[in-house]
Amino acid sequence: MKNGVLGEETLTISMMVNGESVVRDVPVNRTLLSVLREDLGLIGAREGCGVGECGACTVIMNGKTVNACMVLAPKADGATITTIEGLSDGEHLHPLQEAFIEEGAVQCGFCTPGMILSAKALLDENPSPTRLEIREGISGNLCRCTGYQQIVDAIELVVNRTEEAKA
Amino acid sequence: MKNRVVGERVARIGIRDKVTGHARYAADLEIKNALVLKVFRSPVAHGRVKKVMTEKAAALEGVAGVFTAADIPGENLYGIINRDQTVLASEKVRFVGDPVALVAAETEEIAEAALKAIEAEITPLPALFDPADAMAPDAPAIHEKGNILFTRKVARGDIEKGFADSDLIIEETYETRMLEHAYLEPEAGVAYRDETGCVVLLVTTQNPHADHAQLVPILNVAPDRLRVIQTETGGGFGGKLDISVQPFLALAAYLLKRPVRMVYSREESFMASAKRHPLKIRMKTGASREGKLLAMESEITADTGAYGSYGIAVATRSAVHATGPYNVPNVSVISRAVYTNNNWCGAMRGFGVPQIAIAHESQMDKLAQRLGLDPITFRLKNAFENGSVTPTGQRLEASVGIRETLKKIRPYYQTFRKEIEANPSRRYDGVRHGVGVASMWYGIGNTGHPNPSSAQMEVDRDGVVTLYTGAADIGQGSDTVLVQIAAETLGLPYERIRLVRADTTLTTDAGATSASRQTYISGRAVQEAALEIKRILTEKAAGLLKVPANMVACEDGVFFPQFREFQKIPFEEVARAGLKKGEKIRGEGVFNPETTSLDPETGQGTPYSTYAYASQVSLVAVDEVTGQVTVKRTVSAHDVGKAVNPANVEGQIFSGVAMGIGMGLFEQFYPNKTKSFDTYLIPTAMDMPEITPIIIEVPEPTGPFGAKGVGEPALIPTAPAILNAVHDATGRWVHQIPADLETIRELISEQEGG
Amino acid sequence: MSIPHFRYIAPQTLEEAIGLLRMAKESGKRARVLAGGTDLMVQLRAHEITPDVVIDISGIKRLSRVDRMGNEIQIGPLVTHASLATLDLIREYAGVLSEAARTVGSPQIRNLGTLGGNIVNASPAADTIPALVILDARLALRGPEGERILPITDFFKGPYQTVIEKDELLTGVIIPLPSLNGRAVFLKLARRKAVAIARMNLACMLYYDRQKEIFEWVRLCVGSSTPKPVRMTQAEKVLVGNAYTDDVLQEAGRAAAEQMVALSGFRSSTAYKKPVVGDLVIRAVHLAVEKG
Repeated sequence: MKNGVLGEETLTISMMVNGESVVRDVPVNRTLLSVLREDLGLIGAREGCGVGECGACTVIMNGKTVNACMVLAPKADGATITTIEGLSDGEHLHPLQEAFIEEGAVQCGFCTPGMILSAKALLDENPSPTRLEIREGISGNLCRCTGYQQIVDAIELVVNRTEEAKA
Repeated sequence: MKNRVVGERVARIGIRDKVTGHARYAADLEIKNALVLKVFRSPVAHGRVKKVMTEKAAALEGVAGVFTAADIPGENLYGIINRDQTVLASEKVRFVGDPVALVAAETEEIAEAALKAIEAEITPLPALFDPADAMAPDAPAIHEKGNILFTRKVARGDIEKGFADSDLIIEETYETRMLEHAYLEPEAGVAYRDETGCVVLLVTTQNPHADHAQLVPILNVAPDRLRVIQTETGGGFGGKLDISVQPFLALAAYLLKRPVRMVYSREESFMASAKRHPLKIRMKTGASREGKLLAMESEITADTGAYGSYGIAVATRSAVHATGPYNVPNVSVISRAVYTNNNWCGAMRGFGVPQIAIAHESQMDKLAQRLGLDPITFRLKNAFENGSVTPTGQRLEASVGIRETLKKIRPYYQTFRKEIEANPSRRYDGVRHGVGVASMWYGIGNTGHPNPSSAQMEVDRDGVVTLYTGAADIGQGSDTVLVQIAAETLGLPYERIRLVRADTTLTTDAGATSASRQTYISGRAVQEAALEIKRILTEKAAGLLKVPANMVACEDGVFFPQFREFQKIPFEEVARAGLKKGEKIRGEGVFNPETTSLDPETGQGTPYSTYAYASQVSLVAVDEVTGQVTVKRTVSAHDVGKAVNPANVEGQIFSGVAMGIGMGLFEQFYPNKTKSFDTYLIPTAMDMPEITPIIIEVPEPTGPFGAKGVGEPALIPTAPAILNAVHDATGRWVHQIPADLETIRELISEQEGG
Repeated sequence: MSIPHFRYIAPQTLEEAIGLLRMAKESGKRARVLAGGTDLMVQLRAHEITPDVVIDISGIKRLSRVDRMGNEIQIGPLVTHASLATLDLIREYAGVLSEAARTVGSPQIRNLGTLGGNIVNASPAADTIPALVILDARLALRGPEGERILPITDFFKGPYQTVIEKDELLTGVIIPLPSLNGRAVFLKLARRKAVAIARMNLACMLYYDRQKEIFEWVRLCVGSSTPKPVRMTQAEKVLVGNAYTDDVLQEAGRAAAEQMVALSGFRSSTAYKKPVVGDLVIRAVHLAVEKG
């Protein structure tokens, strides 16, 4: 508390974003989504609704998927964050990204980054989900284009490939 | 010769950027020093604008400009079919959300503060929310010309005789609700003036050339002083056919000579954008004892809300398609689009056909039940075939795949039936299962209007082939399909074609990405352009190979004489040989499907040159306690003429089923109440059944490689199949959508009550 | 849509947090407690609330704990729905709460949203509350004067209204270990299968003595149907001491429906909810008995 006023209007936050340490001064009334997009240029997280209903802004924070629009920026201080940009080095794609291409699981693509991150978090926790568990895992990511089936197929393809590789 | 690219599941163009998150939608574009635009919108549904006081807002620090109707350099009027909508209200506001003033400010916060500082004096007028009230003789006029926007009539045969001859007549009224497109990307764009002063507008859109045509008179500039470029577009479904942010961006960039950006919030998108027309449909259908349809009469009322948008198209399409894909000799339809003070309704995937299909497919099942026929047999008895004549008097000459679609779903229908019989409901489970069928037909392209597309191709010295198309890929995959068609035609690998798309300076008009028309119409234009290049290069190659041109083939980018395959010349070498001598290696293709305008009194004419057909079967579970309907399985068979890219076609089918489940079971937009995705529920992955897509290819002779379209057809049979399945499960007919918890529970209770 | 301006502070201890709340109250500042943020962020975006200060309690470690203390489980208010759904301790001793938490929002929302937030926000549709009611949960509130503990049903005044004081913080949810081998069921009814607000939700726990063929005890709570969460005591009374028969179940369903209408009055939704609540009670009781 300074001068009888509670709290701060701007805070310095540090995060690990896609393996890199990031330190920024941000007004406390901003969202993690706006910091990622506007300050860090990580545009793969998108605003589809701003109220945590659509999942287009999904990122992985401390190992768990969150809607970045629901996270007040100061809450991300000290967090480890993975965005879609952190999944591939530009040359080699993540197996999920490969599978999404192979199965044609993308149409307009607006939901795709969030969808892939939800799939990644699901497989990190449960490497061999059933189709129903896959559907549950991506149930927080709305897609209006695909009807989800090719997305489920793509995630299942990764599951099957991982199991084959083990066998 | 076997196709090498067409018919293959090639990866979509641009998909790598989409899975890595690098694809840039309009909201992602970096533009330095851009001002943020916000719109002050009417808080009342109907009112006279007395005064708009913007001084306080304009005086705020960081506000660059506040504009009202008076600031518009050209005509303050637009509309895609009939021009009735103002950029900024000058005299009247007609729905809650009608734009009144435009703010440009340095930051979003300042722009929002400026909106709060604007005061508008609007005298409320009596508002109308029901088309029946709006059609009343003494109703206040929402538009000067009256409240009935348009009336479409279709009349064929002798309707009275048709009913007199019928052994069985079914009459019912069906109602559908206002729906939101719910594309995941809200409207957005940026605009600036380039070094020559030309206004450049980058925007999410389904039709950059139509945007351009509508914006030029608003700005009152020469057409070459405005350039519209489509950005990566996050879905449209018809909702991005009308202009949204475009006039605001163009106007502010033009007047302020500064870059500007505008991104709708989801809430603003819901409030400001077009909706699907709610329809009220009375339908009366007569059949003979033997199961032949004899007469169909229908009266359709579409609530077009505050503005016309595509209301005329919806009134027409619902009328033209009202029989379904069946032979009905005697038809009488009257269809009206009516103004109200609800949100304005426009194009949404199917233009009224998904709504009318609910009526004709319910009627079909009711008749089948009364006649003691199974729904597929009854449909097959009446389904179109080559030589059938439609209600508009059009003789169908080719590519009539409806019977095939019905035959293909029949085994699934029988399997689902057996599954239900094998698993009777258990005590307190309260779940009843049912299976339902529905079919549809859908005319490809605009109704009874010329709707050409054009495309150009050129080859440079390195053999790089560039395809120029005005067609906007909004996620459905036209980029990929058009390049496949070009590559197949030229005998080039798919990767060899560079695409320039949807830029009004670099490409010519391809027409809208709507009406399921791009594969068929733009695809054919691209094919024509490619054929011209092929002709030029084949002759060139023939000269180099010293063989007659009709002996020369091109495959995988190599020309060779058909009987001497070892003698090869690469494509680029042939091109270079021509270019060196200054020869033109360009191709241009134009295609305008044959249509005629419809007679205003009888609707007779050729509205479309070809139609897509589909049939679907769904297995549903109805929870008799909660009224909840769950779709367990869906099989959807579509005659697409030719699947240029089967993965894309399947993607459309899955997509259409999803949208149809939302439409049939829970989607409903309440004007002034529905704000966002928390209350407008679209299906999640958990709401979707496993879907079996079946592609049927009855070639369309005028289509590229026989292709027609599938985008809208994919949706149309879904909701009616669900409603028919609900009847199968519960014995109750559902006459309105959504078939939500309350509707179904009430129907079941009525039954229990007697 | 920009979020209104406020100041932000993140106390690291409970004492600090309560001190801040007290200071804000005394100086007339509007303070809001931030836990998971899934409700608060929506309210901020809509400018429904414009706090002077947001007090982020997520750094207070002890509020994230789940402990078994003797015959009770103590759940910290910062425990997320995702944790409630997966933690062994909860699944074993408060399985119905796990089931309820699993139905909240989406995976993303469950990862952020907290039990405390769900309770304090006091939405009539909150999924965890009916489960807590039938688990006989108590809430610990801490203010400048110390701690008070009250039954969860005493916490709510009405929709979105609670008895919590401006300078109080919810510090724990206490659940007695269930006795008598009760069987529990949670049902959620919504317009779609995921990311949906409950149209109605129902938690039921009971013990049916198969030897004596009577319901020994029953606890029922239906959410999204009464102004504040209550036990469906009328239906419970019908069942207790009686056998599992169609007549008894029907009678219990009717009693539940009547109690709901008595508490809520006739509303536009009553035509639907009245028959459905009765049938859902029957379904839940049936499912609980079937569990063994």
